[in-house]
Amino acid sequence: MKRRVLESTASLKETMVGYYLELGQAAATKSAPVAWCTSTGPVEILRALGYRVHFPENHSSMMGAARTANDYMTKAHARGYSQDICSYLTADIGAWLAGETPFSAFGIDEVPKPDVLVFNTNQCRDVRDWYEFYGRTWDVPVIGVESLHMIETVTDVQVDAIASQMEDLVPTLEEIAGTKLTDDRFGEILDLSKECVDLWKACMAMAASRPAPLTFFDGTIHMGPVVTMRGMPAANEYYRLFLAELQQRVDDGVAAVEGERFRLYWDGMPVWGKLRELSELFAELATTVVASTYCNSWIFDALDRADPFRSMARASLELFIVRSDTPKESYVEQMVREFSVDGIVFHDSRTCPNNSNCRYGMPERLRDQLDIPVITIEGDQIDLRCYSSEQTRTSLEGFIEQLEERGRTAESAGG
Amino acid sequence: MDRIFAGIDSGTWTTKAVVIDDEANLLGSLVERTAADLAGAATRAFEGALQAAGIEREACGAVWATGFGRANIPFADGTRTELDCHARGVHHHVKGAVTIVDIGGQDAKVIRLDDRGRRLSHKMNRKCAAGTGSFLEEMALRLGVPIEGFHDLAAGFTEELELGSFCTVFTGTEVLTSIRQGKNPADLARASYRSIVRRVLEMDVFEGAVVATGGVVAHHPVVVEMMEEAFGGTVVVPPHPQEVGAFGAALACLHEIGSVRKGDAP
Amino acid sequence: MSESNRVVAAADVGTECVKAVVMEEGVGIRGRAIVPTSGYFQHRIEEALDQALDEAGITRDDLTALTATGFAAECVPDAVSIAGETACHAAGAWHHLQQAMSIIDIGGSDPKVVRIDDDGRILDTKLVRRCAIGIGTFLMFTARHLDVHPTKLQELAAEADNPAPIGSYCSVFSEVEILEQLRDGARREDIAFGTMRSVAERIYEIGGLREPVVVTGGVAEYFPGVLKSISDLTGFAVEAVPEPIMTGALGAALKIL
Repeated sequence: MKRRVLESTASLKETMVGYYLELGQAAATKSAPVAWCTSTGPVEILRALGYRVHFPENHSSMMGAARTANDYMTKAHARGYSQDICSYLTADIGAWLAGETPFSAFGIDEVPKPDVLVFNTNQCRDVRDWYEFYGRTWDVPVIGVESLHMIETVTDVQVDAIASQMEDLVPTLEEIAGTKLTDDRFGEILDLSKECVDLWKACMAMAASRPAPLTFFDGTIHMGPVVTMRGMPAANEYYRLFLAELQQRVDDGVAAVEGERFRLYWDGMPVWGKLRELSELFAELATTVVASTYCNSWIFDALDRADPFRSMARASLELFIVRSDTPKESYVEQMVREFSVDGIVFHDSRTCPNNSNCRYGMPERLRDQLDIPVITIEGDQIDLRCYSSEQTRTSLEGFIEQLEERGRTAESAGG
Repeated sequence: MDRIFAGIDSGTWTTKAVVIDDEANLLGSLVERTAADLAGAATRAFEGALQAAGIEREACGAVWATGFGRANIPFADGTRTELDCHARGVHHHVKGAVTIVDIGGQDAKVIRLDDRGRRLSHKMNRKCAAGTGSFLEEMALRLGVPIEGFHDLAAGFTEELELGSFCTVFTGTEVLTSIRQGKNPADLARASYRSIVRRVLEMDVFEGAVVATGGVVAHHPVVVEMMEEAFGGTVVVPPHPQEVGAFGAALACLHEIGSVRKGDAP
Repeated sequence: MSESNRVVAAADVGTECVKAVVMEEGVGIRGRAIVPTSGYFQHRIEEALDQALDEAGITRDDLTALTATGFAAECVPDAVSIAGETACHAAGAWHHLQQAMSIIDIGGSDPKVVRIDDDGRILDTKLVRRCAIGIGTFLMFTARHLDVHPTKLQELAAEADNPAPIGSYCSVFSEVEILEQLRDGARREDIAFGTMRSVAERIYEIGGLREPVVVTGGVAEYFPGVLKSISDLTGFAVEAVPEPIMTGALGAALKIL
């Protein structure tokens, strides 16, 4: 039993490298303004003003995947950034202190210096603290949106509160870019961005097929464009290609994991440095992780050029991460049904509390409400000091054994 | 002739081997210190168990392995996780829905079974609360008594002291502080046990029948008393609690291949 | 021994070892002892003091004063004073080098970075984060898992080709990592070295180091590999003071001499 590699991967690399090179060149030659933006931040405004956009979260996940993050974190700790706060932050700042970047693989020797840093704290406060470090270091403006959290139902009042903050960013961003935001250009970018997230959503939905043509682990790799290139035509071109390959797999009955026996939902961050290890482990166990909270976090259904700021605001408030547990649980329940999920894995990510949904009793509630086995593993998005391969392996193998037994008894009860 | 099966539980501190017949009767078992050579310890434990059973190696139909080093035992014919093996081992002895608490050298597990012995869930201790048996060894070292004498030492306690349960390193420092303050070693030994029990209690809700397994339970029965006190009910300890995992591995062998071969046999 | 000279003793009672020195005014150290900590501190303290007095060729009655420092300083009977560990390490290190410096004190537990000025005054002190308090003890446990006497861990580490990645900031996590490494066939030499590097990382993370950097405490005495790793991480020359394990006791004795 093994994992099957997607052919689109080569185009994905090309697409991403194209994006990095354009960004690197803009920063090096000052041919375009450069902004840093949080991954669920107001990127559409930036693109409409001609900014090239760098996403530090993407940068940190690359160090995580390359397993170099831990080499850098110590440098940030020594500067007073704790081991208990976001490891994306400590790795990124540490890498900067070390004068290194994973972009050097593309010939970009230093991280693209920003003209402005733009955050949305819908994810956490750490993104802002992270940007403030660079703001102080380079004397560059740090602006953004202070989000609302624990939202039960998104209301107009809340949408207005966020939309007005987004509008307030415009004068500063215009001044730095030396250009004005036009309705046409903004509308075009919103259309591109909406098409991108719709395509991404369609790709993710393919995994509802049995057997699933892609896994969560494929998703974490192929999500690069939807995270970093929303509003760029190349992202949409790529996802059309990717979607076609997935559709072909579905038509041909090709499985991402040969002999798929079980289908799981993954809640929480990926463990970037262990993607291969985990993906191989699940493949060995003939189990596909078919859906995840994480990969679906870049689906912004509300985007609409007819009402740009308010639709962006609504999209950012509809995100899983800013919701209270009741809508979160309904969402997971819906995913479990749509994707025919047999069990849920919760990743308790040590330094990412906002993406660790297991800490307030949710696994137990879902287990009881949905009569579905759940398991929690401890780890971190990139700080491998918090992850035990041994404990994780035993726990996941044991979990699959439990699903086997459940299946066996169901069979014997049915027959 | 009876067919013979064996199970090996390769743990971080000790390696356990068990030999059974095809009616799941225990014929022989042995516990070895694991140290750095997992395969070597497994071989010694296996040979010792065979010897105790009076059985030749060739007569043994199959050996399955479980535990930390389950993939490192070259002569194992199959592997299962310790979660599965503890469930099987316990269900053999204790029928009905149970919650199993397994306390080993490095970690503690809570496994819930339904009335047919199927696993409903399992939890492992938080990474921070790792080190259970090894924690007791460290405390014995700190108090200057051999681990074998730790249980007797605790029996002579005069006062209930409180120690933390969050982290063994923190707890270790607390013990040193108490020694400095001249606290009674017997009281500290007892508090060390209570710290372990509290760590287990924090893992899950315990209702209904509770079964305790593992080396700590086998050698430190006071832990069982403390759990009973905490749950307000009886905690059942199956025969050979330290070897339950190995026994479960042997049972897995018997269940998975024994029954198939039985069907094939003329 | 001249009649007029003051002779003092100091006991530094740590979590891993009790250190004792006997010092004579104008002469220097006349006796010293190191006894592993186990069970009741009082007994080990008596042993250490007796050994140090024996080496000096004197008895308890010849002492002008006795002082104590370290984790269990208050367990020293008849001590005229109890001195803070940080101040003693600073005084001991300054006695040797008499200059402004960063001192890394790594003993059995609670490693710290202490910066002093040209006159030996303490500028600031930073402690290791709580999860990593048991660093020295962790090295002792590593030795146990690798089946060597703690003092031989360094020899083992010297033969490393490819240091094992032992990354955790918590010694409990690291102990499991060591077991996994052993299971997965890593060489003992590489694990020994990997462990020392991991200790160095925890020290580096404390932050605040400025050159020149010196190291005091038992880890510097028995595990010089840690110093080399700190030097690799910081790019600074990192040297142990003479007899690093005795620094705290020496500093305490100096304070009452």
